[in-house]
Amino acid sequence: MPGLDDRDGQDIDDMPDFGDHVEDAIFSQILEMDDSPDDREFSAPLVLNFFEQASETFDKMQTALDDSNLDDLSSLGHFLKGSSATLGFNKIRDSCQVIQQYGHKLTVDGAPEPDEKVCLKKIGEALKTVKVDTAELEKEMKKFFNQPE
Amino acid sequence: MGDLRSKLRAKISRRHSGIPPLASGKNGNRSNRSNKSVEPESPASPASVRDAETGAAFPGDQVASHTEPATGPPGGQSRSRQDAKQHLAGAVAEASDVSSGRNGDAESSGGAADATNNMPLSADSAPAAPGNSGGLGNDRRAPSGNENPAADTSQQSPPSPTTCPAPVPVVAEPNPRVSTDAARRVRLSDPPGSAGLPSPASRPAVPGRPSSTHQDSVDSTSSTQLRPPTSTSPRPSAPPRRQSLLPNRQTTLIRTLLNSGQPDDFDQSAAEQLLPISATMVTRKLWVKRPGASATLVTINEEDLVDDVRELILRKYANTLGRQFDAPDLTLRIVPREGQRQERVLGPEEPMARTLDAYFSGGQSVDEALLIDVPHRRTPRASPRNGPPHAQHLTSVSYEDIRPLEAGTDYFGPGAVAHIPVTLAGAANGPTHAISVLNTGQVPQIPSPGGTARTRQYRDRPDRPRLGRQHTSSPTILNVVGAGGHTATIAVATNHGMQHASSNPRPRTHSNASSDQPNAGQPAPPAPPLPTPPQEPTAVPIPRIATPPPPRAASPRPPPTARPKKKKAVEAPPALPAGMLNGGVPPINVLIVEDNIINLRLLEAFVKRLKVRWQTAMNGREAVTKWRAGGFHLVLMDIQLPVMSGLEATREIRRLERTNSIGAFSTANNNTNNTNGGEANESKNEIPEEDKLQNREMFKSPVIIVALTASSLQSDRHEALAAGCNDFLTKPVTYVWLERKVMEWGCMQALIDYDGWRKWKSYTSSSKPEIEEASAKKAKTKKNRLAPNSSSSDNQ
Repeated sequence: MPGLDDRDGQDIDDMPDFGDHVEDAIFSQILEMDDSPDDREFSAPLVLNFFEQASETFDKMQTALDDSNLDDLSSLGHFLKGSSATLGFNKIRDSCQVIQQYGHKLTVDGAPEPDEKVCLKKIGEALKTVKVDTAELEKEMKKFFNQPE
Repeated sequence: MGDLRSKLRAKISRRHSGIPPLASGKNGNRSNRSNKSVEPESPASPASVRDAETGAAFPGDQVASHTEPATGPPGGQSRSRQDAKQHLAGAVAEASDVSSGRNGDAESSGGAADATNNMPLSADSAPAAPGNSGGLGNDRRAPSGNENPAADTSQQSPPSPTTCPAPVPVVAEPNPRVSTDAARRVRLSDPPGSAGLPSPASRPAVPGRPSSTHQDSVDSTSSTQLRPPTSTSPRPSAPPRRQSLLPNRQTTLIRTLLNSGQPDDFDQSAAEQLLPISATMVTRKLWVKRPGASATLVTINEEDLVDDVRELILRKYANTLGRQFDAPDLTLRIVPREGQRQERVLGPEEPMARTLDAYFSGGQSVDEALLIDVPHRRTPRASPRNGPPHAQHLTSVSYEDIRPLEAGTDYFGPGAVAHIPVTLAGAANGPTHAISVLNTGQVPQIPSPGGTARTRQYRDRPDRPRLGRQHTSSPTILNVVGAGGHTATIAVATNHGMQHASSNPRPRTHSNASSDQPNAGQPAPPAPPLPTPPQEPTAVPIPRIATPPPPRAASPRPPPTARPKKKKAVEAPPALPAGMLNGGVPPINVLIVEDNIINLRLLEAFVKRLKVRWQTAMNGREAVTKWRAGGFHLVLMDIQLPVMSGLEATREIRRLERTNSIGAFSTANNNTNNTNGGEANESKNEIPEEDKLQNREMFKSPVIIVALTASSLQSDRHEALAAGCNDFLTKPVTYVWLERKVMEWGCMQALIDYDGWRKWKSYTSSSKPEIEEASAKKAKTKKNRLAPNSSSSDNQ
């Protein structure tokens, strides 16, 4: 855990609107696990850990992409999809779903996509998107949790 | 897994078999009873309908058409006069009842009398007519010419419902013979069968009391008119009447009417004499209103006290006041006409009519309506079913056998989860053998439906979880976290506490159990009492609990070993929060298998909040290893895992279970093991060393594996099922659903693993009192320490 300052000085009772980045219902459930809105003892590290995990995963994805390792990409996509879904980070989840699917040589709809190059290209695009989205969300989240960026 | 499921299902349903007949039997009884209670009343209704109809509709149809031409404008009056005559006839018939011990009569007719009391004055002779017609006709013919006075007497006010108490002088005097003839004709032409005459629509007219017969109050009229009842009877005695049509308190009226009809020489002057008398009436109307609201009329009887009036008012305000207040709660204020007099509250004992007369000479007007005051505090009254959660038990207890609570309508059917802990507690306090089960951990193998204490328990628990719903899964997120999901859990949660507090009608409940325990002085929690008798004797002073276990020979199980059974029990958080003792979630041990640290942390947080024990594994191999240590009830298994996938791990666990003959019911397991061993290469009798489970006794039943699937695809689910999972949760897992699953499966496992329950029970029951004891002691010492101080300070 990076030097966490769990003190949430401000009174942020209401969850800010993260737009379509975050599914409120899920995320608020995680916030509810905290003992109090002033002390995000549980959710803050969890969310921050997620961003660590995400950046690690992106690195692995990039490596796998460079190696054209679709299998790894798929499982990495699945992996990050799971945690992003758990936190309700919908945009990240959707991109991960794309990566996972094309890693399986499937389109998002589940139709087979035999062309590896297409798959890799799609995965590359999705990876770019998800990185941007993640960075964006991370910023907001750190602000929300009153963390230094 | 199929075999397990079917076995469980069979078992459960067997245990259930006693339930439905019980419930239906009860219903049957109830309905019978209600039928019975209705019966006595039923004869009354036709009669009273007839009363009403003949009283109201008759004259309008035939008599009025006859008399109106003759009387002109006062046709309405003459009509009411006919009414009065009809009533007279009724009263004549009635009189015999009155004089010859009406009470007995009323009693014999039971509810019928009650029914007629509701519409006393609409009573007509119709019911009596069939039997009476001969005698009555004769009787009436003789005095026919002289009926007028009576008619007059009884006819001072028009039948309008807005009748004012003020007397209305008789204006027109129609030809008596005509009207009498008419009456007679009507009567005679009225065949008994047609008594139930016109349309029911005429009934609503009754409340206006068409006759509005004025009472000749005894004091003023008796001297001139009233004869003692005995002298009134040149009439042939009527056949015994089955019901009385007028209430007791109107005997005065009846006598008056009867007697006024008797004298042959009654003439116009007599009629005029009556006028002042009739200022007081049998019934009169009284204006009442709630403060600030519009006034309404209440019909009261002359002799009514204020107390009676309150009753009538409640009837009038049936929907507002009547639902919340009892009559004594009301107070009536009277505001005098003259400004100088103070308004005052009427005492319940005051005669209403006289008070009115005293205050409002000449009649009460709308503006002078009495004010109805109600107390501020409402009579507490829970609604029948959906009382507030904290008070629901107040109403639900009595229904509970028939209708389980509604709050628990999620998975098991109502209330299942909530009941479980209670019942187990009940077992602890039940008859001796139930206790011994608890102390020895020996569960009767299969409860015979014959009716030992155990079966009774089962019957008492109609909402035990049922099997056969295993393949459920969480819906999509939107459904879950929507308002419904949350409220559902809350409802369930509140239910628990409530159930514990109240649901058990049996004398000894959970709470009693724990409060009994301090005396029992059970061993401390870290060392759960071993079931072997040698360790017990010192620990159980209370005879009820100290009852020795049944003969050990009866044990279906190998005697429990002395070595610690569950290392997890030791590992369990040393200070289990008190919340656990309140028993929301069954005390199961959960293995969370999840490779993603984020998900894992969240799931951990969830189960932590659920207050169940748990361990984690990050991949399938680790999961199998941990499972082999034993003691798990539930595995939350992520499907896509590194090293060994969730499905592989599941298959492996199932295989090991089969190999080691772990079934829901170990005794029945040998057969199924043989028939079921899919792998033919697996040797059945000789378990390979590497497959042998070390702590075989830790595996009471196959573990429940709930797959955590990322997708809700049916194919994924089928695959998981085939691998041996029992259930699914769709990721992302929500707290609500996780709780449900833990409840659901935990309860089922708890039923199977009775031994585990026993341990838990002893743990909780011994730990809780200790805490309480300790705190009590602390408080005591504190008190002791404080007491002298305070007293000394007082002395100073």
